[in-house]
Amino acid sequence: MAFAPPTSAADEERAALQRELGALYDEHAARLYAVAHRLLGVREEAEECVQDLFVALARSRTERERIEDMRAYLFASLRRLAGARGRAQSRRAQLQDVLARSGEPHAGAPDASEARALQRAIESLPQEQREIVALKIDGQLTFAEIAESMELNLNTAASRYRYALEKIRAQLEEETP
Amino acid sequence: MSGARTPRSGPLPLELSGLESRLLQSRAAPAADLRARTLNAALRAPAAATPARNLWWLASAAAAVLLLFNLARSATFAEPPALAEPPTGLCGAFARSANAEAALPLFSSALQRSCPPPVPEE
Repeated sequence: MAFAPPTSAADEERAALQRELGALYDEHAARLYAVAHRLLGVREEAEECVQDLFVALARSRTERERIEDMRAYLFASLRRLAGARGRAQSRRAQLQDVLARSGEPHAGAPDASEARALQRAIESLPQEQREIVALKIDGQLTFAEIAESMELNLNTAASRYRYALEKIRAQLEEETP
Repeated sequence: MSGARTPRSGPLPLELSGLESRLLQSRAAPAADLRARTLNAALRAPAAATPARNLWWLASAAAAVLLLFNLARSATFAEPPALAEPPTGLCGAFARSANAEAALPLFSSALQRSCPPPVPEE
């Protein structure tokens, strides 16, 4: 066996990694970003969350090869990362408040004030309901996938989602009499 | 198992309601350059050792250990222990070689039986 220094092999490996991550990004990143943004409410935080996720993926090829369901893995990891960032965020609540209300652009939002009202209503939800709404609406996951990702019973996931929607509706009605 | 309960696939109690449509419309979209920034950050990340790199380092480490072992062994043979009265002949050669027993076990055990034990210098 030849022991050539791993220069050209490293280049090939890097190119392969770039292709692999690029394909994963194209397939999942828009929804991952939307979930992160819904959970964190701040563009920069959501972007860093997605970046952290891909950096962690890039670090270990053997880890990537062990993943059976990439979609489930990505959203479960994103939830953990966003959770950690969210806890850090809550310690800087004042700053978050300023940033969250600074008029984040939302794709296709018919009205920025409505988008902010929706965001406020979602922020008022308990964390687990908020995550379910984000995963369902922004991540486009099925209840089965949400239940697996959050280690919940399927019916619990569905009913939490329903309660969350009811609360959001009530909150919006309060805001717009 | 025909009698096993299959989990419900979670049909939405609500169809895609007006509220859900509004939530969908308020979905945030990533910036156009996020892809490039994310891939750059990911490719800059220090990769965990791959099997090829592992093999390279393993071979280097093995070579280093072998070299150290050979150096240590040659240093041992270079300075045999001095004896008070160096014996001569075959028994003398045996006595001078501190590692004779390790190096030539059959030969040395035969010598050990017929030669006086080596006397190390105090």
